[in-house]
Amino acid sequence: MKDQIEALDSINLEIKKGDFISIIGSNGSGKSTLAKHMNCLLLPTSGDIWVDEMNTKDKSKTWEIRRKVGMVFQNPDNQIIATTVEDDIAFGLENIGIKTKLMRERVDWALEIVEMQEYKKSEPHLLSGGQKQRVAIAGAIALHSSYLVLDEPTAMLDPQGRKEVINIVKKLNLEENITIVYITHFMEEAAESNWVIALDKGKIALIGKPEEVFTQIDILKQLRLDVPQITELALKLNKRGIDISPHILKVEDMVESLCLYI
Amino acid sequence: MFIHLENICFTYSLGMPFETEVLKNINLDIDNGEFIGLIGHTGCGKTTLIQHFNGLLTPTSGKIYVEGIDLNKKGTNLRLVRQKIGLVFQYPENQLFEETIYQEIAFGPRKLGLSEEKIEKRVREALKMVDLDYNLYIERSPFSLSGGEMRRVALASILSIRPKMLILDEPTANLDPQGRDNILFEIEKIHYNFGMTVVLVSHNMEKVAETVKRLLVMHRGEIIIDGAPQEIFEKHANDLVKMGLGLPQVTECMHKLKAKGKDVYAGVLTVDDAESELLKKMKRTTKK
Repeated sequence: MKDQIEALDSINLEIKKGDFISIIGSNGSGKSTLAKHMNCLLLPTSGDIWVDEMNTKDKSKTWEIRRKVGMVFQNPDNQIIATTVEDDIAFGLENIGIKTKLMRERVDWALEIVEMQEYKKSEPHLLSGGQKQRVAIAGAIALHSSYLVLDEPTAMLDPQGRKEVINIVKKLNLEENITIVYITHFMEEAAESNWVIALDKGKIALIGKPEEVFTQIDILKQLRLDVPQITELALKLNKRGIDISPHILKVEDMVESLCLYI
Repeated sequence: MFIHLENICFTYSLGMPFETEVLKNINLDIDNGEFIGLIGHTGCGKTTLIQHFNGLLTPTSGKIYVEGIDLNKKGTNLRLVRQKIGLVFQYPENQLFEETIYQEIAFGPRKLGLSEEKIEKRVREALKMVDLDYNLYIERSPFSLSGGEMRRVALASILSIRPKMLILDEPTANLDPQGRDNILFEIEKIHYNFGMTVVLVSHNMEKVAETVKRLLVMHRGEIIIDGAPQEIFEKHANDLVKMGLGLPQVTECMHKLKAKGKDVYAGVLTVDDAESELLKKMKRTTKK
C-alpha cells in the first residue's frame, strides 16, 4: 500500500499474571492497536505475541485466546446486544455452548461482582453509562477470562460513572486475580494501576510504576499527556524547597504530608 | 439581556407511560459577552436545556426570549434565532458530510444565500478563528483529519454563520489531554477576541471551571447553583460531591485540609492557585 502506516514499532512487553497495567498515550499513539493484538483481533506484521504460551498467529488457538482475554470497548452502546441485562451477559456463554444450569451460575456470579444483581431484568438502554460498562465487563468475565483488556472504558462517562468502573476494575484485579490492561486518557485512573506504559508513535516511551512515570513531567507534556493534578502540585512544592515527596499520587497522602507544615 | 428564560418546564412523552419531567421551573438570564459553564450529572437535563435556547425544543410551559423575541410566539422566525445562536452538538465530527473542508464550512453561509465571494471570506475567517491554515486545509477531506481537527472544522462550520452566541455540548469528550486543552484554548480565544457569548456544557469539572467566569450547576432538571467557580468550589464542595460531580484533585485536597482544622482557602481551581495558597500558609520549612 502506498499510505502504509507503522502503528506499532518493535514493542517488547511482558505482562505477568495478576498485573494491573495502564496504557496512556495521545490519540494515534497506538494504544488501541496494541490492545487489539492481545486477543487476535489484529495480528502483528512482524514479531510474536504469546498468551499463556499460545502464539496469536496459531489459528487453532484463536478462540481459546479470545476466551482468555476479554475486551471492553469505549462506547457502551456498541457492545450491548440483548434486550435484558442477564441475556446480554449470557450471550458469550451461549456461544461457547455452556449448559443452562452452569450459565445461570456464571451470570449471577458476574452480576454480583459488578454489583448489578438488582438490574438483571432491566433493559440495557435504560441504564446509565457506568452501569452499561459494568454489564459489558460482566459479559467478559462470565467467560472466566483470566485477562481483561479495557480500551478507554470511561471516556464517555461522567465522574460518577468513571468511579464505578475503576472501582470494579480494581476489585477484579485484587479479589478475582484477573490481569488488567487498562487504556485511558485520565491520569488519575492510570495512577491506580501497578504499572504505567506511555506510548508514543507506536513505541514505548515510558514504563514504570505510576510514581516513577508521573514524576517525568517534562516528558509527559512532550507526549501530549497530563500529570495528575496532585502530583504536579507535589512537584511544584518540592521545587520550592518544601520537603514533600514528588512521588505523591493520592489526595489523602498529600493532605497527610501537608499537615506537617500547616 | 441576550437570553431570558422564565419558568421553563419541559416534559418528555407528555401523557405517555414513560412521561418524564426533565426541566423544572428554570429561570435564567444570560447577558451579552458572558462566558458560562453548565455542569451536571448525566441525565440532569443539560442538553435538553440548551436545545431550548434556539428553539429546537419547545417548553411544555414557560417563556423564552432571545434579544427580546419570544421564541414560542406564533410567527417568530426561528431561522433568524438559529443564526444568532450557534449550537455545536456532542461529537460534532459525526455531522461532517462534505467532500472538502471548504465545502463543509461553506455550507451554512451558502444556505444563507451569500455570494461566492462572501462565502470564501467567511470560510477564511472561520478557519482562522480555529487556527487551521486556509491553504493547507480547504482541499482536504474532513474525514482525513484527527479527532481534534475534525472537531475544530465542525466548530468552524458553525462560526461561519457568524453567530452572536456559541453553545458547545461536551466539546472535550473523547479527546486526549492535549486535544482537550487545544479546543478549550480556541474557545477561550474566540470569547476574548470576538466578545462571543459562550456556554460550555460539560461534566469535566476541572478544565471547565478553570476556563469560565460563571458556573451553572444543574441537578435533576433544576439549576441549583449559579455563581463564580471559585465561590462554588469553596462553599458548595459537598453538594457537588453528593451530586456525583467530583472535585478537581487540588480542590479536594484543600477541603480535606480544612476539615482537619487547617486555615486554608478551599476555592482553588488550578494547581497554581493551590501552590500559591499553600505557600502562603506554610510555616517556612525547607528541605534538610
